[in-house]
Amino acid sequence: MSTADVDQFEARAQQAARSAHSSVRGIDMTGLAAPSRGASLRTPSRALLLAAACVVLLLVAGTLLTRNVFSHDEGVPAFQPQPLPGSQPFTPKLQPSVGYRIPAQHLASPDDPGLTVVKFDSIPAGGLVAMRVRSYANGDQPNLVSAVAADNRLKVLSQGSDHGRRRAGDQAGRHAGARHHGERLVLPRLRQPRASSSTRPGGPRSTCSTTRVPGTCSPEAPSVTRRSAKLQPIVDGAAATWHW
Amino acid sequence: MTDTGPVVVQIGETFETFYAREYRALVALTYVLSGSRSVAEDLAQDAMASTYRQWSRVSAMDSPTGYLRRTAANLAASAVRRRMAEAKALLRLSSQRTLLPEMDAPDEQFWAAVRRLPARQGQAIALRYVYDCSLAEVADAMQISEGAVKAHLFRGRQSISEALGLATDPTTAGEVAS
Repeated sequence: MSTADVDQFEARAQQAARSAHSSVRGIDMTGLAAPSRGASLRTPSRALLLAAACVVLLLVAGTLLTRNVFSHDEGVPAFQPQPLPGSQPFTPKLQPSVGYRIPAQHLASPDDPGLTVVKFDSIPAGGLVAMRVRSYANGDQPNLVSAVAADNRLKVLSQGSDHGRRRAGDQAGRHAGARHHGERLVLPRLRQPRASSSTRPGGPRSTCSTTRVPGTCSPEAPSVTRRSAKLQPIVDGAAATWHW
Repeated sequence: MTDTGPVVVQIGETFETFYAREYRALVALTYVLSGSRSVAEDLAQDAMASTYRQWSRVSAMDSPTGYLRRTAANLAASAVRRRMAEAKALLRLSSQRTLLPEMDAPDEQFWAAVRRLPARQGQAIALRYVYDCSLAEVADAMQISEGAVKAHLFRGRQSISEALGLATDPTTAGEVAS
């Protein structure tokens, strides 16, 4: 910068700069506390990210493994679920009333655990309905099965729990051979009720009749009504029609 | 003016040497740009720490000092960072450290006028006069062209002259960065 033509501004600015330098002349030179160059500040965050990624991978792998190993529900035969065309009010004959609505556009997967398949003769367009018993208010599958069986319009064909699967095997499993021939859900006639097979644990003894196609289970024991008296209304359920 | 003329960083210079040479002038820069004696040192420390973290890259630059000055000027221009530095300084003031001595009133008045300028104009004037930098050095520090520096200096000079009632030589004003 030329000093020959220094104007007032230049003089003032230079004086101010000298003053600024003077004011810092006595400051300490200590105080810089920085981490060593070898220890990058980014290292911990990278390690954390890597650890988090590993945890997520493990969780995903574990979930997939668990799902494949443990949730394969063989108790429900393969079917093509289709959404119901609309809410289907259903008024059963049970006393007290057990009522629910099947939500529209809600598909159930055959792999869903805890799936109970019941037959609704009163639904003309439907046929079978797969219903998730978990949505039953008490989660009381035996009671539900009993309640369904007590209504001669309904039929329990299969259910997801081991307990229920065993019972379903009592009915549908007896004609396992037929399952592979397209009539797997049609219950055969039980000429003589047998306690070991047709008596449901905690439920009424039922026989299945083929007088209606497909057959329905008719309760014979009056204990059904006592048990159904404990039922709570089913307010929802994952459901899908199951075309016969 | 001062002993802080153009600096050529030697190849292989350690950060410690760089720090010792640059620190005081850097505090002067942050002082005039922040207007706070308590904040100036913290801003300079922050700029130094930022430079240190990237020293392997910065030391290989053509002008590490330009990087340092740019960092400090930007820190000082940021109101949010200034407030944070003020908060840190307030915590620190409870201990023993002494404040920088105050400047004379006219000088303080001049830098106050600089701080009222738009940030880039203030930075250009501070770099120009505190460091006695050439146009090219200011341009390098601010990462802008020399023409832009010239424009910033010219406008800043006009604003300050009007505010402080200083007479300016038009020829000097036009060649402010000659």
